Amino acid sequence: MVKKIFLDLLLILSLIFILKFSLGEEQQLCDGNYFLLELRFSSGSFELINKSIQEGCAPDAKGNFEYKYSLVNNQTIISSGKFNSEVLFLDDFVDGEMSGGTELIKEQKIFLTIPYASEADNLEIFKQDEKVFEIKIYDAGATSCKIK
Amino acid sequence: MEYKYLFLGGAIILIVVGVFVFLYDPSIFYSGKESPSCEKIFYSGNSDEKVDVVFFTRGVGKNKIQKYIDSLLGFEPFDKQKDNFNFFYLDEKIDCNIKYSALFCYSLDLIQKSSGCPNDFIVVVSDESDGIRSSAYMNVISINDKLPISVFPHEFGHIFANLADEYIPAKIPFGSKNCAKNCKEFGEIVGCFQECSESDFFRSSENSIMRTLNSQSYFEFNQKIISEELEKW
Repeated sequence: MVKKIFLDLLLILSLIFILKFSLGEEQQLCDGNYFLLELRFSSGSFELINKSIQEGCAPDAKGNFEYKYSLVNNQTIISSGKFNSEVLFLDDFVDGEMSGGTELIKEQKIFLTIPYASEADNLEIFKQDEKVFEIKIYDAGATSCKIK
Repeated sequence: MEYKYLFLGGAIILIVVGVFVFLYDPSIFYSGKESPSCEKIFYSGNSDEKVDVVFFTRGVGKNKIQKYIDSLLGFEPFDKQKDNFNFFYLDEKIDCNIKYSALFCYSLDLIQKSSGCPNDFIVVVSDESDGIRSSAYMNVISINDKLPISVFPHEFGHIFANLADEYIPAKIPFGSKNCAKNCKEFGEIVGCFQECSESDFFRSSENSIMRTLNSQSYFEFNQKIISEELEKW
């Protein structure tokens, strides 16, 4: 009798742990890597400060903005996104009136986070349709033995 | 007989420990790579197919986040697309600056910490003094909690749909569609009002949320722009 109770309790315990593990799997929201690019944005041009590969989630950048980045392999676009590093929106609300407007950013450190793609060779940045920046990306983080 | 009680006692202890672990320490068996502090506030499903927004707070209770979410999701067309959104909270310390009299939280540290949650858009809500503006830059919104809650839908309009301010003076960002040089650009949508970022540009509604935080709507033309953006997700 006691043995049966013990086995039943053990079964319940197992079910609890199975449930826990399945929830743990469900919580894996950021199980990928991403390229992290630190750039100096200055009057429409970009300069590389650092590039690395990090663990975690990277955003999708699907908006309709002035600048576009593309991860490229042999002139084939692997992924792309848009951003606007030039405009800072400022907003206040006093006595029912909004104020603040926008400031055009002349110089700012910006950070591009792009989902990692092992086949990516280059990163290109376009202002509208004009290419304004290009770097090799395959050596980011210097963890790869990929030879080009 | 003693063995029977020993078995029973052991099993009960195991059950108690198991339940305790299950309820109070979800990180013990955690095997994902995101920060254990990434908390789902409003979750609709797979992040690859959703608009993911992650919140941080500074001196503001976590419970306040729900009010910001409710505010955004109360605006058309978001109200009909709630299941396209995920909202998360990250319990991390964030440093912000003041830039042009506005809260400005965009930094390498914020971007790296955000990677602990799905983060298409990042929102920092901070308890600041009166007179400190809110801001939006890249995909980061920095909110002074002293402003009305509706500042969130306003700032989200900027970074999600590239909507320009409809009050003056401001500048119209490249590609922005809600401020037009002439009324014909609004097509069949009724309504055309002078002043939209610039005094010689026009807006499609008198008082949308992009003009005043007292508004409860983006209004028809802006809703169409937002809906087009939502289609991409």
